[in-house]
Amino acid sequence: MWCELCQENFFDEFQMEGVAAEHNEIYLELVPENLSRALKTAQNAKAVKIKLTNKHCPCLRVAVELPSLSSSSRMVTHDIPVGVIPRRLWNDFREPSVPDFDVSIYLPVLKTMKSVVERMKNLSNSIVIEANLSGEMNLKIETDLVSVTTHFKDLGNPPWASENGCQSSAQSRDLESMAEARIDIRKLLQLLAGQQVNPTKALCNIVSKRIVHFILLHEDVSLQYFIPALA
Amino acid sequence: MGGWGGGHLWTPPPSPLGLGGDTLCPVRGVTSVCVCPPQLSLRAVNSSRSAFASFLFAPLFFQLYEARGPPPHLELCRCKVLMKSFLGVFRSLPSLEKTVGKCLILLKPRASRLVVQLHCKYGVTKTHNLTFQECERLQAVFDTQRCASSLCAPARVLAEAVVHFPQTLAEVTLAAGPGGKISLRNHVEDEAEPGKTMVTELWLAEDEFQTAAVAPGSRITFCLKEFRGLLTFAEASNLPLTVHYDVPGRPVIFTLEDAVLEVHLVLATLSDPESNLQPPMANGVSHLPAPSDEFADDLGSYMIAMEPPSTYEEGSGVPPIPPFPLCIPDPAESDTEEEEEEEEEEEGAVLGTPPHKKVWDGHGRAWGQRDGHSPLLTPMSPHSFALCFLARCWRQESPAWPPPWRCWRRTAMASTESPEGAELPAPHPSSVQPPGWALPRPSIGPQTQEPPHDPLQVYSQKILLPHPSTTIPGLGSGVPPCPGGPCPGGAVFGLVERGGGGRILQIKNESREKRPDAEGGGLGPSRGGGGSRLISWLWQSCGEG
Repeated sequence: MWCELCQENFFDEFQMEGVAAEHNEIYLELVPENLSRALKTAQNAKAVKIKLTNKHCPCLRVAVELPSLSSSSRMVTHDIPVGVIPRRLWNDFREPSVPDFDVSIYLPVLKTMKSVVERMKNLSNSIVIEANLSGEMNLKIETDLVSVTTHFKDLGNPPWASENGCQSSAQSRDLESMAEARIDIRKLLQLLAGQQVNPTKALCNIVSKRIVHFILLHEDVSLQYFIPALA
Repeated sequence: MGGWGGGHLWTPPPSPLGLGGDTLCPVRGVTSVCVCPPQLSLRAVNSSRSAFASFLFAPLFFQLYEARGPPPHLELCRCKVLMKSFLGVFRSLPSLEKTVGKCLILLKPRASRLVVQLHCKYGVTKTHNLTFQECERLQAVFDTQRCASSLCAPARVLAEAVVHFPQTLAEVTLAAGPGGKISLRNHVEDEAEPGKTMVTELWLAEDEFQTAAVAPGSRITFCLKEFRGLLTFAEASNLPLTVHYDVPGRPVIFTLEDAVLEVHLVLATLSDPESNLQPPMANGVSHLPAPSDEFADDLGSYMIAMEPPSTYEEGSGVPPIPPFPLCIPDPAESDTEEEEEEEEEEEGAVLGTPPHKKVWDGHGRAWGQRDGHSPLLTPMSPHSFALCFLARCWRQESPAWPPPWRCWRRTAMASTESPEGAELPAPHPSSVQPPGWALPRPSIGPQTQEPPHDPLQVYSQKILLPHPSTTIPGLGSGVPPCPGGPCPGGAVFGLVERGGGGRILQIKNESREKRPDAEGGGLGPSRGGGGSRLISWLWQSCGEG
């Protein structure tokens, strides 16, 4: 999963100095549950400050100022241990490039998709997503006893600007033919369950039998999920 | 067990009892239920002796508390009940609150049974027979006066503080920091790598606490899980929580106090950063007998030892006095009255229902045709927080009067007539009214013995006590007035009459106000009061005409 936040949209103050002038970035590794727990307690906060400190070990210090009945507010600090990733490993964490997909299609309403996939989860471990350039998408599961297919129509296909003809294969593609990939249903469900707000744009790129790439765009946030296809 | 024939307790809907039991549950291991006149105590200690909790319900908590037995042995009933069984009775508190009107707790020592009977809606009665075993005294020795630091805060403040810590966190450190701030911090084991564990620290300003008398720089580390249980109860009962602590290694004591309820939770603290958690009760339980072999395996399951509070035993110097006569209606009448009462329950307790019809001479005779274990039903509406307790008769010279449970139920009183010549003392100046309980609380602090004087001298005739609130004369100057003012809708008056062989004081507060969710009655304090309250004190002076 790849998520990008534009810092101006979230932070009143933002100060950072990267490793070096030409690499103004810091790569940190942390346990997401710690961060989510720290931020959960900040739901009613007056202010939240996140600092990278290095007392005994590098820590992300989340300082939350909470309202209280007394004159001074309550302060909660969470020290989340982080690991700083050395520069030589930064290549491992590059944003994955958009693959040469076969089909790109807008997703249906995520809530509907989620309820469908949830029911399917009880029947099978893997799900097949297939879509074509006519705005049709099918979600299929197949077991010994039953096979279930949900059809979505008129979804629309996002226009991708062709770059030096690398999308020509997609453009010359038959509009009706489906590109499909079989993925783990639980991973798909995790993705769908995590969405609380309807994104401004949600689309899905399928590389036949290789990978499914979901892009969810909100106002301030872009999320990309890459789910590899099962053999 | 000897002479005590049994005891009966009627409670209003059993949520506090159930909540109390649920809170004891985190203190895993031994639980003791002490039913001894004039109070009920639930105690628990965990298997490593590092946590001790006790809930003391004063008789005023109950609609009716009756302890019977052949005099002069008012022996204390000490018994152990399986914690799981006891809690099983009070499963699913929300549905209990909706359906249960009354709860009867009956102790049958000869049959070794503790019977808990829930009288529910639609005539459904659920009876639970729990076996118990006798056991020895279970009491942790602790003294809040010897603690260097103490804090008192509304339960809500502390509950909001611990929400920042994960549910699985075992230990938390409480420290007094600079600027009078109190901090809570999760405790990290030294063995754990510093780079792996998340550390959360919360700072509370001094003015969030009702009182904060802490030694600067002091810190203690205790088990958060046990504390959470108590916090749940404290929040539900809307009482402020007091924390007493000393140096690391000495136990920390959490207290909730009310007119009818006293809760203590004593937890071990880490003695110092290097050493392991040591049970502080090693000092405290010096006179706690070693568990007998037959229970050794059952430590995790079996502990309910019942025993009286130590003050009760030590403070008296008066030989135990037989339970005095209780005025009760004829059983035939009581049934009809009860029916009437239930029909009228929407209107609250009916005037005049407190029973004066019959006097029991209380000296071991049977209750007429009732068998030894029949409950005594007082015709009180489940909506009325009617409390009768049979107070012991204390001789005038007894230094222990008033009884050590310090629970004086007070109501605001309305006068419809001026008192007939009764001289009423000025209202007691001090009181802190806990929100939600419309009951006064005795002031926190060292327990002072009230100067003994016969409270009953005043009551030689009927008087109506004036409104809004005054101390009930003769209850001692320790009774604070009801600062909340008149109870809503209240027509409150007191009747003092002479029953056969004794004097009876009854104070009744008739509030017609109904809470919207008053269906199950509920425990007034936790719901902010409301509904009608009937409070009766029955005294019987022993040997006086």
